[in-house]
Amino acid sequence: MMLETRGLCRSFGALAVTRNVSLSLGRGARHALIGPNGAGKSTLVNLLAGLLREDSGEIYLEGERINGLPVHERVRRGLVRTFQVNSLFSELTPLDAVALALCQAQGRALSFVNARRVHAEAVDEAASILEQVGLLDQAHAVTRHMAYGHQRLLEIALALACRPKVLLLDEPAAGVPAAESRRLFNALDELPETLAILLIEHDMKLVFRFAKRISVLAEGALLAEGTPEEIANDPRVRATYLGSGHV
Amino acid sequence: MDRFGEAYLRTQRRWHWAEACFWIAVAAAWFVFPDNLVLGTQILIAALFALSLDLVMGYAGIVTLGHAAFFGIGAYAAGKLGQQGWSEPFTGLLLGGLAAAVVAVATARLVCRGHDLSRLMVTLGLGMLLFELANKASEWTGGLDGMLDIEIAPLFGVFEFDMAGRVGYVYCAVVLFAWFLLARHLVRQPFGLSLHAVRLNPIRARAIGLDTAAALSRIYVLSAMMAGTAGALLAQTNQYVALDVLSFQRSADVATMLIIGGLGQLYGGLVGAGGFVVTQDALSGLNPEYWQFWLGLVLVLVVLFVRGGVVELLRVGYRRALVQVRRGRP
Amino acid sequence: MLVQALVVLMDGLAYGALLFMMSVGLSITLGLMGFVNLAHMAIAMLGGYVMVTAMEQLGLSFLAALGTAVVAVGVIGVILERGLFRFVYGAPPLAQVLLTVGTLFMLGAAVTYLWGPGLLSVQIPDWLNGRLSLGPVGVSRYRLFLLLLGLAILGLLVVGMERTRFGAMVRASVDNQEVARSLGIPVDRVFMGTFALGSALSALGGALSVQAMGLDPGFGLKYLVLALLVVVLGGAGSITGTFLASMLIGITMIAGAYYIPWAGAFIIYLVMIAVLTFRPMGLRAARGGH
Repeated sequence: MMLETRGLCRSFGALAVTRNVSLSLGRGARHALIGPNGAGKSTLVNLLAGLLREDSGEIYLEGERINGLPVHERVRRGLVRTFQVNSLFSELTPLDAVALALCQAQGRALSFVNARRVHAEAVDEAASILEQVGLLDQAHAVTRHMAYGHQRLLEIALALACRPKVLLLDEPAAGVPAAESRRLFNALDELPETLAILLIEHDMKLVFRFAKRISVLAEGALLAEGTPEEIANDPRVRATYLGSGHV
Repeated sequence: MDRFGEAYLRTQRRWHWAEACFWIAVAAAWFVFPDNLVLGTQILIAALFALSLDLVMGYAGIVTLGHAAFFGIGAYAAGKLGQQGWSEPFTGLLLGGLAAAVVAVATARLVCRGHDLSRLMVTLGLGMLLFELANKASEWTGGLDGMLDIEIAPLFGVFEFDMAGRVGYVYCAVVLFAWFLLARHLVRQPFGLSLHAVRLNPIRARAIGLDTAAALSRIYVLSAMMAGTAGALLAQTNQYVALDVLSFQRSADVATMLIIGGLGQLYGGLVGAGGFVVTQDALSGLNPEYWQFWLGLVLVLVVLFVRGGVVELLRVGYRRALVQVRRGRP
Repeated sequence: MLVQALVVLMDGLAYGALLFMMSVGLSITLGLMGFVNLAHMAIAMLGGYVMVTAMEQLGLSFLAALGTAVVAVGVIGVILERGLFRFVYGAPPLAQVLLTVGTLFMLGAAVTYLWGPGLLSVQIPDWLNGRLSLGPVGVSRYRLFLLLLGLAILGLLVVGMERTRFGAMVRASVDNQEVARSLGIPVDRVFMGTFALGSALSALGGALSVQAMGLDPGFGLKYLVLALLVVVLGGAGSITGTFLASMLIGITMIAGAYYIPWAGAFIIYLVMIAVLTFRPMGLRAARGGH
């Protein structure tokens, strides 16, 4: 079991945003988390990633309890997330940003002395990651000048550079125009098979194409969990999504 | 693909011809301006101080108005050593820098957490605290009169510090160059990228595994050591330390130098220091209120109109000139 | 002993009242637009200088001079806001810090040029002079006046925020600038009005502190750290928070100076460092306007 949570709870004042959520992801998982707006999906991602502190409940990464660990410690242990709204380094180039993440994954990002080879190899590997997501031609672009869809791909490239064991993808397709989504879907298809992935998404096409298991979150609690077919046919899920026209 | 990384790094780390010109000019000044070497020494010291501030403010993004604290600690430490009979200059310099570094380590936790406003306050408050301490502890520091009777032995036992500043200038120039090389090396390492990352987007930096507090602490301590070294140089070349080395005015002055020259470009602080000290000297006959007023005005104007400072202007200007020249060619 | 403590307390509260008047504008502008105005205390200082001039050169009475200072500096505040500060509202903190520090320098230099570098004072009127006996305690009338005035201003501001339309607009803009704008609230005018009010109040505090703390061109910088501390402790944008923090700091300063005189100015810096160590976000986080 790569990532497991039990009874995760979080409230903001009187509002319970996450209610007793339990999830587990095994090696190579392709698990999607769906739910209407305001269901608490982003909060859950933030709890798992360490940006928010849970009120109660347990989180285990490869069997190790990680409650209370700061964000960067979780990343070092292999729990990596992308952001729903692009959160990038506006003035850096994709090449530099990805190379930095790679150096960090090797624990060399803060050393004062680096063998030139280590840095050069990181740059080489960064180039190949960028090629993998289809951004090699943008390697030297300044991030804030890049098209939104390309920035979205950079989010994924950065996450990959962290050598994740568990990847939390927070609405990767959000804001990406339909014309550019093919590159994105391809990038997602090419993700390593052993990687455990939790995909948070609204785009049902992507969800049903990608996921082997789906959890449905509504008003902070898990409504249903199962295979795509089970979820598609679940009347409670249909009722929750009534009016959204997706299912 | 194998050679790609190597080639990329080589272009990043290559020395630009303008850089070589700059350092040649620094060396040449010793020959060309033999009567102004005392002023030249002051410029070099201010340049080192400004460079240290560039690392924390321009690269790491820590807004501080109290960096003079480290400058002053270095100055008083080196001065004290000279006053008490330890006149060897190189060790005095090293100890001055270390004294500042020690204080930085003690205060790093305060400065490297929290957000901009509390950081600003802590740095401001620490600076003022030290100033008051130095003022109160006048048996130790000389208080308002300053620390006198500082004796510094000749460098290597041979080169005595002279009134014309000839030895002092070379001493400061070498120290500045050495620290500059270190800074230049660091910012081209992944560490330099880490600093940019922390400054640009601390949340994302943590999300790729960077320990932002550790990154900031490291550069903060290094920068403090650099600033302390600059202060020690002042104490040793002037053989006098006044209370103003710890003043808010000095912190604000160095920030001004940096913003005029341009943040995050290493040379910004150096160029800004040169311009600032020369102008201050040229206008020294003026009423202090006039200087204060024009300084404030320049600061306001630079913030409003000159993004990136003088170095950036030069760079852009040079690029445009190149384009024009290229267009002119058939 | 107890009597002494009560006097110290009274002094501390009066000092706190002055701090409150001078800092509340800074707190609101910081909470409203995330604008770090390091020139704020220099504006308060201007109030003091206008006060001195009004009383000595123009021969106005104490209250009239106060009024003049408040109005004149309120206007200057608006000019500064419209003509200078508003250009850096969205800019990074460093730009705001340096711009306002530059303004601080200019104001300090202008003041030195116009009034000289020396310490100035004013003559307070007879009805504010001397002591009032409250039981065993002899309380300085001026101090009592300051405290009552501070409370009155607190009351007016709180009621103003809750009950007036302008107050509602300010609260909305502090809460969420974009939404406020989309509701048709003229956020820019709200900024301007708030800045004017903040400047006027700080001028009031500055004018009144001439008697209590003396006035020289270093005022703008000397009390800046205190004002920032008040804002961080009390929470940017909170009027009652600013009041409580001011009182706390006022009492600490006076008690410190009285009971531990050798510590001098340190106490407050140590307190500040202690607070910020355990609560790096201050007692409440400062809010940006965006």
